[in-house]
Amino acid sequence: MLLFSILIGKFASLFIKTILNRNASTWPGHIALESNPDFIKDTLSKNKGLKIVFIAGTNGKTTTTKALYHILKTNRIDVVRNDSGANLLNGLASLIIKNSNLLGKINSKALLFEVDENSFPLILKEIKNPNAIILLNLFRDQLDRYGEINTTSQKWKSSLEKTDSKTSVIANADDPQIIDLAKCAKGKKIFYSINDDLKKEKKLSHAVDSTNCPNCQNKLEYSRISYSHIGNFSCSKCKFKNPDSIKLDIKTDLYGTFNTYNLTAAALCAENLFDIKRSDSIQSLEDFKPAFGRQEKITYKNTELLLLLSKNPTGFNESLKVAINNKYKNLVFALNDKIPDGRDISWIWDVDFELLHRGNFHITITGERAYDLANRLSYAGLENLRVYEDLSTAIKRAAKNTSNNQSIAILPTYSAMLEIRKILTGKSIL
Amino acid sequence: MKKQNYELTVGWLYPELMSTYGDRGNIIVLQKRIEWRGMGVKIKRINHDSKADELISCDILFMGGAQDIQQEIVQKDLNGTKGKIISKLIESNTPGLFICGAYQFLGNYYIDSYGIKIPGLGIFDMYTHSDQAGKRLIGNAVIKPHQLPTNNLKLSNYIVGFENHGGRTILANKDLAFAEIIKGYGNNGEDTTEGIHYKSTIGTYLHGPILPSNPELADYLIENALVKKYGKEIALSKLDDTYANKAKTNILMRLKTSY
Repeated sequence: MLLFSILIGKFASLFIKTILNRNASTWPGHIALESNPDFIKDTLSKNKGLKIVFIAGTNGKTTTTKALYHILKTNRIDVVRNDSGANLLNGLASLIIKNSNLLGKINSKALLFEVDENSFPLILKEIKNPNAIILLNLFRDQLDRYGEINTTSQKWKSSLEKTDSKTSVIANADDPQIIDLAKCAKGKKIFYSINDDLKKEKKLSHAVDSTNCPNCQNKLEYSRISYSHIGNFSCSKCKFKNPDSIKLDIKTDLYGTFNTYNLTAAALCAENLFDIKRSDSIQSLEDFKPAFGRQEKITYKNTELLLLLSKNPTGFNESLKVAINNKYKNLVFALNDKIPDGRDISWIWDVDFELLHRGNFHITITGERAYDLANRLSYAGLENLRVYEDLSTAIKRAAKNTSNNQSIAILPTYSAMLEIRKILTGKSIL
Repeated sequence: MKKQNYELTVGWLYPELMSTYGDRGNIIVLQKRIEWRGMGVKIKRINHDSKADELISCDILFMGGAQDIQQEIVQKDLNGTKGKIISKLIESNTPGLFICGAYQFLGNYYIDSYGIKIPGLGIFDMYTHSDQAGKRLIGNAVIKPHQLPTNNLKLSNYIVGFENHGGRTILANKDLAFAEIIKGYGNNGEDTTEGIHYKSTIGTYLHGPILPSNPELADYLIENALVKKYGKEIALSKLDDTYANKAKTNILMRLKTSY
């Protein structure tokens, strides 16, 4: 049965890659699961020595997964991981098919899997005790698809309660809801944070969700804020506060305090599961580059473009700050409303575009919902907007209007990012 | 009286607890559209720890939707003096906009998924029950507002927005519906009604947010607030709504609604 599933999965994979010229990151798994719903369980039972890590959270999954992969590779540990976006059950099954022989044996020491928020409970049903779970953060994101974050958190809670002492949890010590979730697990807990001097925000931004105490619903008091609701807090009523945490001196070219959190989580997971010294992890992260679309630099017609995937209010706000702090004057915002972007675009009103008042920016707006975004920006008092619904036209015009040795920061939603990358590089990735 | 002598206060009910679907957009649009007409505007944030009498000076009321836990906190708070003042303001024609969870609060009661009846403020003659199967009604929506002799709404066009709700609302009198649903689900997915229009106040399931996508509705609230406060109609100057109109035309075309 297992042989059959792997065989047809591998065949499907070959077909998709050679005939359809597409990346086979979900369909082979889908087909294998159709033929054997227990495919994942069956294969993994044949791979007892394989260490499994799940990476979950709203923002930073792909970067953290790739960072951990990078640390392990640099330290000569055989590891496999899923492609970004292939983060549902069929993505996990595809990953297994791709990396196993016909007997279901995976020739790696570690399997890293970034998990979609909705699929996290389903995947924990298939694999009850992964060796580690990294819990990054929870922000409002695509409410039409994921629902409200309390709903997500409730579902995660009951799944985490079912893990046993074999599963370590590496959790963000500065996200109230994540701390509450981590406490539900029975295994070892490692809380991580970043140094206080990096927590520079002066006040909570508008689109924050988890500022009430998870224990008693009292309003939390923040003494330091990294971004959104991530920071140092305490509850005056029930004394809930950040747990003791580990902070590392991460050296990286990546922008944003959120990435310091991501890289710290990866390094601590490497230490706890694979005995890699912190100093070795920190060193290997020095030349780490994140996945496509995430702070990715592409040169197009002699202009340097920085892609900053921005798919929810918190992500968008942080990308805006990265662009502003790094002196980008030419900005392109690309808003689509396809299924992977979320059909509901009301979240653009939770983004603090008012931050752009501080400088003189050249702004181009594009995507299927370009005019809705232009409307949002005009109410933020921003003028001289260039609006082109067509992505290709927008990129071309923006590049043309950019003077020599200036670069452009592009903030796209997920599907817009994939399309823009295709325009820039001439090939599709997913 | 000069324009700069007019001033409106917008009461933003529970800006932290009831603000999930970009609801802040409605406040930004009200604020800017009053300012751009050269009038004064104050945004008063009413939280659960605010004094109830802060509501009395409000000329427009707004409240957005939220998650269940937040709604419980608000529910308790509204059962006190604040609920009574809100009721008095709405009954005396203070314009208001209540979205999704806030809209449900203003009805007679809500029956939750356990069959428990939670009393509402009883301002709108309607009730809401959660869906047995837990199915949420989600998607882009187009509605056509009713012209009623009891309101001075002059909206010839469609209103567009996005709905995402688990509750099903049943109006006691369907003639009070804010609009007829053209695309989407509306109050309950069955009787083609959407929202409620009672005196100068509108309750609706549409976010998007609704006012940025439909600026004429924002102006309707502003006009009514001026009539209530100054006792006469004050003409609002025309604003440049090119982006909002283009965005609306695009979504109407996509949903195949003739414009």
